[in-house]
Amino acid sequence: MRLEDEVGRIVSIQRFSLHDGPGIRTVVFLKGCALRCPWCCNPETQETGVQIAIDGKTFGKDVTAGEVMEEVERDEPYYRRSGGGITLSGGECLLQPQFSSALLSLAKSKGFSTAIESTAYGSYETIKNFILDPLDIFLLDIKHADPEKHKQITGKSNAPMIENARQIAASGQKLIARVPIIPNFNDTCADIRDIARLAKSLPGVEKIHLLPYHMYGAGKYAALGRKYLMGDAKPPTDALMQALKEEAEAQGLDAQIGG
Amino acid sequence: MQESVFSLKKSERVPRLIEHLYAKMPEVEADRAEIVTEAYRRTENLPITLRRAEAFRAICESVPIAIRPLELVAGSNSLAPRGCQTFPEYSFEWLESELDTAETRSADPFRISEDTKVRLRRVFPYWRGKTSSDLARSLMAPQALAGIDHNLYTPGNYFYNGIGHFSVNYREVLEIGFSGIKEKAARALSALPIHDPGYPQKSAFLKAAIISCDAASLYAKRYAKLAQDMAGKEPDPKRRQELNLIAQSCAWVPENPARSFQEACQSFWFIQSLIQSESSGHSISPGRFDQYMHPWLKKDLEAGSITLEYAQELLDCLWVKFNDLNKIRDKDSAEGFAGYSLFQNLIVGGQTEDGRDATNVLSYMCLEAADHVRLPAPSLSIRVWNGSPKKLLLKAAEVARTGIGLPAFYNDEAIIPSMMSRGLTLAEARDYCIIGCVEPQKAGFTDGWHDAAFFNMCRPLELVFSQGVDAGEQIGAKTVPVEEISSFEELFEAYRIQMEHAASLMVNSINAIDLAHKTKAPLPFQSCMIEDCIEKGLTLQEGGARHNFTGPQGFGIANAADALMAIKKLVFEDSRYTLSDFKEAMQANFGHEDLVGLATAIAGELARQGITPDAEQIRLIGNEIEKAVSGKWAKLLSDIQSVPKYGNDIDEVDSLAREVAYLYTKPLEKHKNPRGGIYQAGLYPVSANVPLGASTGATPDGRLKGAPLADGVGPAQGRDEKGPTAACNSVAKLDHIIASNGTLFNQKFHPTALAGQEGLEKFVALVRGFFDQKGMHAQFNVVDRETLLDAQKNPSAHKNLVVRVAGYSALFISLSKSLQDDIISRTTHGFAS
Repeated sequence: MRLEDEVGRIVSIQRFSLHDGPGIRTVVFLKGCALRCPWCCNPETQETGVQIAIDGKTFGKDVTAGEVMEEVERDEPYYRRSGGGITLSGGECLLQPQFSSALLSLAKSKGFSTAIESTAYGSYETIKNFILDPLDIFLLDIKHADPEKHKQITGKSNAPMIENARQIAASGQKLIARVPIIPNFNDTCADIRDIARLAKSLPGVEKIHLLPYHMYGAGKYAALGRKYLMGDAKPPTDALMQALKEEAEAQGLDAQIGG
Repeated sequence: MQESVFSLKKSERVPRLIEHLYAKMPEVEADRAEIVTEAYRRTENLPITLRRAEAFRAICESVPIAIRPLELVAGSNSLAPRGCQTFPEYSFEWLESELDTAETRSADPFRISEDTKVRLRRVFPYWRGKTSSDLARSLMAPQALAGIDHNLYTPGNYFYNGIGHFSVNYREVLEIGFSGIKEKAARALSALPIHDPGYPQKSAFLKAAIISCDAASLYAKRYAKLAQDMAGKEPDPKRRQELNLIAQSCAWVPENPARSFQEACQSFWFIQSLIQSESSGHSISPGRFDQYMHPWLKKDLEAGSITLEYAQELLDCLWVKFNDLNKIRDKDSAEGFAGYSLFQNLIVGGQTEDGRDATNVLSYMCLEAADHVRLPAPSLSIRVWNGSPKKLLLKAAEVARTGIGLPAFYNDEAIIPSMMSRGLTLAEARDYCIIGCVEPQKAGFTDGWHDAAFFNMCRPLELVFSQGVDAGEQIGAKTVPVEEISSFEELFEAYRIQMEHAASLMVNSINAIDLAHKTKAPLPFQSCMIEDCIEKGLTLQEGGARHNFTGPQGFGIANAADALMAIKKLVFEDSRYTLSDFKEAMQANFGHEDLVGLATAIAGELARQGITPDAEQIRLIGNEIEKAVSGKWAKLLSDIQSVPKYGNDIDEVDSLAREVAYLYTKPLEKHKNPRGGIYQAGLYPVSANVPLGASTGATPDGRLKGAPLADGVGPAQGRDEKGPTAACNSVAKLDHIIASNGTLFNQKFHPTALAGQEGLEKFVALVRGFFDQKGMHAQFNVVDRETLLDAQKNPSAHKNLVVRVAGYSALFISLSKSLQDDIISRTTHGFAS
């Protein structure tokens, strides 16, 4: 089968993304995720199946890699000028390894930068066989350093993911740690210190992005007939973000606020 | 805070100059009108070119002059800061009727003192029946006049005012002074064969040129004397020294070659301000200032006679001065050109005539001046080519990020071939600058007549539905009734015919105006600074320039393209509606006719029957009717909404937009102007998409009657949903190169999109990516919606909020409410989720 014909399920394609890897990028949001983070700003990507929202809007459609690339290629002039390209997000792109692999390989063959935003969920074999070869940058989500607390809130322990991350990093893959800063979950200096230490322990990892919690996804929960569990939790203040950044830097990482 | 790629200290003088300049509402003064009237009265037996020169001499001799507190560069066309003179020789009736309302109007108000009103009313009677606009009107074909009355096109700018829209050969005046120019004219005069059939006309101009050069020198000497007098009374020794320096410079330049950067700045300013005293034409554009001024800066820096900081202070002072010049327009034009703008376009960067990168330290300093001053003028532009240094573009992005809408970005890779396609040499095309809003020109060699008229591309589409009849009059071509049209191709053909017909009517009216200016207002002063006027012995208005163009600009592409796409899909592909349905819907304004008026009529009827509903009941009746009537069209409107729209990188509709643009740009190429040049199309509305949208009926794209048309070549307001790269790609699919009179693409960004060094780099990459696809121009508003909304509510808290309007920036609070709303409604691109 040609790579172009590989079929996958996506929710949307977002052009001119500035904060999901280097340069100007097109982000493909894949459908399906293993975790259920209550702060998730893309709740429509969590379920694997196609969903119909209350207002009749459909979330999820099956497309070929070729169709996605047609849209992605439209911004080639901007990738060329900015060093940008494609980022697979979601959802968890590792749940659709063949499709993700096809997209990354096609993008790579066009000379675009390739990135995924992922928790490194799944088997390392799959990641190694399908993803790493055509991948430039792995944006690794680390939500907590404590696997128990991770499991309690997101539904899954992250011990296997961290183990995968260790192997991914060891393979020489460029990897950047990304941490959503969530109120009452991981927004203390101690939380960030532990996460930063964990990230630093991965071979070759130098950068960490601290992404402040926001509520932009709240409306989508209502559309899906779901309750937004974050209540009225407030985004972290600039001062707190600055303190967390300094904490991460103290662990020897190059830290930045935002993607 | 990250470090800037280039920065120099801002002098404390700058905010004080600005404070003084903006302390009061600008004011109209009567002196020029009186002086010119008097000069005309005593020269009735002279040829018109000499009469103009005598009038200019009289202005230079006796118009009141002022040196404002703390300024380092002198030269003011009015006593009041940001004041203006009037130009009754072009038109005055509008001013006569607006004398009492100018102060209270919404767009660009001016104070006019009772004394000024009396003095102006005294001179107006002399001009009745004698103005250039009177003559132009009598020269137009009746059907062309009707085209204006029915808002097919609007040549109002030059119909009622001077032409402007050029960049003179500043370099030559700086190098040889007006004494040198005068000598050139004198040599040409003595070399002119006595038997030359053009002798009377040519000798009149050459003599007029000599008079004008002397007048300019004399005008400067009046400043020298004034500065000296002021220095004598000045208690502060530092200011005394500054005034003495001004006195010395004004005694020497612009008559003689500038000897220092400071004198070059002073000489430049006399040229710039005096041109705007000779005629009311706007868009007098300094052009490639960083190129022709650089030799003086370089020399002074090498000699150690100037510091970069002082040079920057001089530039900053000059930048403030650009905002001191002003012009009162009639009420309607003030809406179209809102923001007290004179469109003095100054451009940096680009290439040299031999194709090398032209960036120098002055290029950066001009950007820095815009950042220091943060005022609307000059309209700062930057030329971008494949070899532009990244540092320059980053500096430009830094300035754009401040939110002042400056600089605008221009693409050498599109503009140079575009100009060569119009007959310019490679070297000439490489030396282009931008005039006014977005119009490319070879400075010092061109009479471009850019901005000759606004051409509304949606009106011919309306006429397709009425067989050319508007308000009961046959003003368009009599095309087939839409009921008989059975294919999209036939419809497109009818549109083509209406476009060509309207364009040729427009050409008739513009050519009449052109001839009127030649007859009534040849301008010897500006002409002596543009090649080949002296060599040919002809003023600019008589065809003296080497390159002559006429550039009227079409607008409403996005609406026309969306409209055609909606028809193509809903009528001819899906057969869900007929053209008659569209016709009926447009006539009914999609059910949004004046229903409250209708309700009031019903209420009147009820009252007759003895029932008296109150205002609230009337409103309810109105709402009920609206619901009933609009329900009929709601489905059509929602179906139109679901048809693909221009601006989303969808090839089918984008290709239609390209074809629509061709319907305007291609037929224009074959028309000629009276100065021996050709027509070339522009694609931009300045800010006329708002007032001219108000006189456009409902369009098949679902736009309601009277709503603004799309701005520039961009997507219609709020219809671009796929972000800036998709919008850029759609716009780049138009043929910009054939639109050699310029195209205009506005984008609006939320400040967060340009945050940090990475934000700047991505912004530059976006511009680069757009330009790689041969886009011609792009400009940016970097401001959040909340700020604009707050400025509408609390104008006094946002006195200095500068925004990009069209090809220029303006103070937001000086714009009319409808234009403010239009700017707010443009799509803002910001963070992707």
